[in-house]
Amino acid sequence: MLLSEIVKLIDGKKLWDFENRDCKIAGASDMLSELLALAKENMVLITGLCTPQMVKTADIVGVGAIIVVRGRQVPEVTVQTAKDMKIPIVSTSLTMYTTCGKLFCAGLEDVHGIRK
Amino acid sequence: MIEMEKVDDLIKRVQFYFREVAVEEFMTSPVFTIRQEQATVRAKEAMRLRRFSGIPVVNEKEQLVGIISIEDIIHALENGDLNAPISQNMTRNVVTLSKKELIVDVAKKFELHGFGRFPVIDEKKRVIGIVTQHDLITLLLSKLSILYVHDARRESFVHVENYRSIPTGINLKEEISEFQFSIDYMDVSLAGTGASELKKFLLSKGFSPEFVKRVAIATYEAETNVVIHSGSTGIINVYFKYGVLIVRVEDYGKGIEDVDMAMREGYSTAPDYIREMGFGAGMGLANIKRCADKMMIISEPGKGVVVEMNFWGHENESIRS
Repeated sequence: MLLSEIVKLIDGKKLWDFENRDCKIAGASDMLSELLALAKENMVLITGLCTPQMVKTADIVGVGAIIVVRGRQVPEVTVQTAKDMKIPIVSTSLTMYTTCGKLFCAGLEDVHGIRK
Repeated sequence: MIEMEKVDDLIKRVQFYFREVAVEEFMTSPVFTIRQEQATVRAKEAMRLRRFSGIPVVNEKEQLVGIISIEDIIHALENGDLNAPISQNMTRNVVTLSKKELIVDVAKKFELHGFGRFPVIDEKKRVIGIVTQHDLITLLLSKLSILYVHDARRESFVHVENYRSIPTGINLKEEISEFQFSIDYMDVSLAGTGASELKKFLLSKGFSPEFVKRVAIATYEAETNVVIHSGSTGIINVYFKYGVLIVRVEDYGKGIEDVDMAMREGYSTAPDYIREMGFGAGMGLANIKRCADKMMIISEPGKGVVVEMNFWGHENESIRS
């Protein structure tokens, strides 16, 4: 699924002008260590965190795009970090539950490749 | 003290997991041998000076002909034979190993014969190594991938700038660190910068992305531990030697109270404000253990923490891209 389609689906806001890309896997976490343990290359990360730390952690495991949920005000430094690391970042006013639900229904797989 | 039978029992229980390991991987080599025509008193002196409890005996072609143990020396003393050649006092029926034998067979031989050591010989009967129970135990500990030095011996490691890399035995003092990063604990938002930098560095050196990812995750966890828990500055040093990448992260802070608890998944001592930032899941050390091929923690309350992680290529995973 194209990132542009995902942004449209969750009524998201692009936080910097990143290029479109294709995404197949998604995962949600508010715990950085869990992210390190679970993340797959190019995964869409759905999170409630908006610290630069979260972006750095995402970079370590090669996250493909970040969605910050619940309409949180993402600090400039976080956006800048994402931009420096060339990771697309999107914010949405949807809750984590709804965001996950919509992406799941749209066909994104979870980290174990399960989707029925 | 653990009795020897308990050690046997332990070895029996865990050997299943390491049954593929061959003798050549854990034997002590090269090995000290003694010629059969020498006087028995020479063997006695060698044992006293080198604290051996037995020495393989060889002929002029360096072929194994027997073994001389403390027991044999005692017999020689009793009979007043200390000046006789070793060949007269040694034990001749030696049970040997070949370097390809597996750990299960070795454990069986220890059990069956009750000997303290087995010489390892090649096809020409030359002694190429020796296996003692100590070698077996060291192997098992290192294979369990974490070795926590928990007694007075760690005193000499903690607060020493450089020390011998325990898992690899390489003296790090003589090695120039390929990558060094100072960890600033004052700013939590900087946590992970070292791991990020290391990732870039390793990729630029031509290491493969999968390999680098493992290293980066483990380093990230060790680095954030310093920032969150130590209350002190820290340093990351990286060495590459004999195909093994060694990452050593150390701090000079408050140390770990209970390493066993800290290793447990889900256990964390992180304060609430740290948890709100997404840290403190209690998965840090577990994550390191998962990513690193070997991991060692040395710590003691008040004396800082040294985490050493070793990485090497796995099957289906090349180190270089």
